[in-house]
Amino acid sequence: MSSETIAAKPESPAKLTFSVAAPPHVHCGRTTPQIMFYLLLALLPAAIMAVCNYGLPALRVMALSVAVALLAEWACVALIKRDNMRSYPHAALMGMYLAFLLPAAAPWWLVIIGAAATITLGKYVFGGLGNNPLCPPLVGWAILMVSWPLLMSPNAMQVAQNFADPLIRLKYFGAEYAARLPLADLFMGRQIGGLGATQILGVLIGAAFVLGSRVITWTIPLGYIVGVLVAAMLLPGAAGEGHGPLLHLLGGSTLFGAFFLSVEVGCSPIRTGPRLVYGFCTGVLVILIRVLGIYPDGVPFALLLANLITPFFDLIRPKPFGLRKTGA
Amino acid sequence: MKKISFSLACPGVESLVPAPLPSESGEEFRIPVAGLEVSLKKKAEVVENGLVGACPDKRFECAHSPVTGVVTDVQPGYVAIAPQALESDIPPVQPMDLGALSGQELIDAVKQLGVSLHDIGGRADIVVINALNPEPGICFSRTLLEEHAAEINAGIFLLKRINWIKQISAVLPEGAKADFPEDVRLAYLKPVYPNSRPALVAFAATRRELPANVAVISIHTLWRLGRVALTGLPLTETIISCAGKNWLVKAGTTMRQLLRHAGIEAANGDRVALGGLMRGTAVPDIDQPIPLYAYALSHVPAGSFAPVAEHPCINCGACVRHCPSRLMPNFLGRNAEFSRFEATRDLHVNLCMDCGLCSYFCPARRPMLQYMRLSKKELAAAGKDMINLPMADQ
Repeated sequence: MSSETIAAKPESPAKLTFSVAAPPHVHCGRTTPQIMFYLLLALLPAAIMAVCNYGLPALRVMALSVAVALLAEWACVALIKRDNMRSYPHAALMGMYLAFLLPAAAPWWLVIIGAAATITLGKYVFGGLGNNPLCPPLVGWAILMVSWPLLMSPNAMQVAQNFADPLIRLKYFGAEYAARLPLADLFMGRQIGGLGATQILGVLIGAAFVLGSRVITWTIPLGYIVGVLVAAMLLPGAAGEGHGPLLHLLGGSTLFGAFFLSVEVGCSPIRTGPRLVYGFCTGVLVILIRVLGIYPDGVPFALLLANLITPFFDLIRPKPFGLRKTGA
Repeated sequence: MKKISFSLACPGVESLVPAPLPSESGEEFRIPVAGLEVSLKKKAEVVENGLVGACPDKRFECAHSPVTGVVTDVQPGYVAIAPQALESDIPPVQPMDLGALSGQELIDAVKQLGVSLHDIGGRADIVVINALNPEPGICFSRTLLEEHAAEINAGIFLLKRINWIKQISAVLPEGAKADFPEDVRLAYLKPVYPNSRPALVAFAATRRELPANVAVISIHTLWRLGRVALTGLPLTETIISCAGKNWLVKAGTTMRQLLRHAGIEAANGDRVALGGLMRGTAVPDIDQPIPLYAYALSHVPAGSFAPVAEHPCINCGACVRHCPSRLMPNFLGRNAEFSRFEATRDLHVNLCMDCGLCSYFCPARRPMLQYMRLSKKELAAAGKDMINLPMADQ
C-alpha cells in the first residue's frame, strides 16, 4: 500500500465523555425507594377497607401518622447530618404500619407520640434504616401500649362500631365462644382491632402483590403461618371446634404481622433457613401470648421478642466457599 | 430498567466474523503496548509479525505488528503503524518450533509470542479448561469448541508439554460436545452465571473447594495458545464478543472501530467496557486499541440503570442470599466503607470469587464489588497473604 492512501486520515472523531465506574455495569432494577413504594401500594387495599369500615377517623389516624413520621424523618436526618440515610418512602411506610395497629378512634396526640417514637426511637437511635434491631412501628406501638393501655385498646375505643372482637372473646369467654364468629366478618374487616391490620382481605391482596413482585420472599410468612396453626392446634384452649385455628389466623393482626411486619429489613434474619425458624417461632409465640399471656393480641410482642432473637437465628449459616472440608 | 439474563447459553450464534481491518477505512493500526518496552521510533520499519513491544516484565506478553509497515506515532498506550511496502530489507519472521520446548522454557517462549499463561507456575498439578462462556451476553464457547477444535487441541498439546502438569480436565456447558483427547477428564456445569467463575469451575472438575494445586485456563486463552502453537508465529489477532457476535479482531483495531462495525452508536454518558457486563473494565477513551487478551467489548447506554450511590447498607440481605462464595457481603461492604480491613479479613473477603452479584442485586446501589476488591488490595498491600484462588485469567 502506498503512503498516499494513508495520508488522507479520516476526520478526527468527536471526543465523547463516557461513564467510568467499577463493574458490574448492569443492575437488577430493584432499588430501595422502589421497594418502599411497592410496600406502600400493597397497603392501599387495606387502607381503603379501613376507611370503609371505620370512616373518616381511620383516614385521620393514617394521615397524621404518616405526616408525623415524615417530619420526624426530616428532623432526625437534619440533626445527625447524614443526608444519605434519609428515606421518606420508608418513613411513610413506618407511619402507615403504626397507623394500621392503632384503633381508629385514637386521640391525635397519641398518634403523634407513636409516630415520632417509631422514627426516632425505633429507627434513628440505632443508626437508620437497616440498623434497627426491632421493627420500628412495633417500638412505637409498644411505647403507646404500655403507657396508655386503655386508649390503645380497640375495645375501649371503638364504641361507635358494632363489630365483635374475636381475641377478647377468646381471652375472656373461651375458644368455643370465639369460634362462633362468622369467618366472613373477620375477612371483611368487621372485627375490632387495629384499623388496618384487621382488614384481612385487603392485607391478603397486598400480600399477594408483594409476594408476586418478589419484594418479600415466602419464607418468613410460611414459617409464621405454620407456627400459628401448629401452636393453635396443639395448645389446649387455643382453638375451639369448627374453624378453630383459622380464628387465630384471621382474627387480629396475625396476617398483617406475617406479611408486613415480620419481614421488615434489619430486624429479620437473612438466609432462608433462619427465616423459616424465625417465622415459626414468631407464630408459636403469637399463640402463646394470646392464650397464656395478658394481652389479647400477641402479635406485636411476639414479633418484638423474635426480633431480639434474630441475630441468633442468623448464626445458622453455611461455611464460606473454600472453608468446607470436602473429600478430595 | 431491564434485567439481564444470567444464562451463558447462546443458541443460534454464528461462527467467527472477521472484523474489517483498520486499513480498510484508511486508518492506521494501533498496536497496544501498555506496560511494554518500546524501542521503535517514528518512521521505523516493521515487518509483519515483527516485535513492537518487548516484555522483560514477567507479567505482560510481548506485542507484535500484524502488518508490514512504518511507525507513524508512538504513544504511551499504543504504537501506530501504517501498512506500506518497506524500503529496507527486513527478513520475514520465522516460525518457532514450540513442540520442541517444554516446561518453563515453553511458557517463556509462548509469552514472547504474545500469549501469557499467567501463573501456571510450578504449583499447578491440574489444569482445568473453563469452556463456559465467561459472562452473560458473551457467546464464543460453542463456536470455539465445535469449529476451532484444531486450535483447542493444539493448545492442549502444548499444555501437556508443561511437565509439572499431571492432569488436564475440562468443564463444559451442559449439552456441549467437544472433541478433546481421550485423557482430558470432562465435567459439566449448568451454563448460568456465576458458574463460569474459575472457583466454581475448579470445584466442578475436582469436587474440592479452592484446591491449591489447580489452575484454571479459559477457552479464550486456550484458543490463543493453540493459534501460536499451530503457526509458530506471534499472536496478531484475537476473538472479541461484541453485540452478540464473535469477531475475529486483528491487533491494532481500536474500540471505536469495532463498535462501528458492530453497529453500536456510542453516545455521551454511555458506558463502554472491555470485558463483559458483570466484570468488564470501563474505558474512558474508545480510540485506544483492543488488547489481545480481551474477550469482549460491552456497551451500556446512558440512563439504563440507577447509578451507583453513596447510600448506607439497609441490611436487606439480597447480597448474602446471592453470594456464591457464601460470604456476607453486607458486612464486608460496611467494614470496607469505613476502612476496617482487618475485619474484612476475619470475614473471609479473600474467598470472594469476584462475580459481582452482590452489586447487581443491591437495592441501595452500593459499589459492592469495588468494596471487595478494595479490601483484597488493601490487605495484600499490608502483607496479609491471601489464599490463592484458582488462577483467574478472566
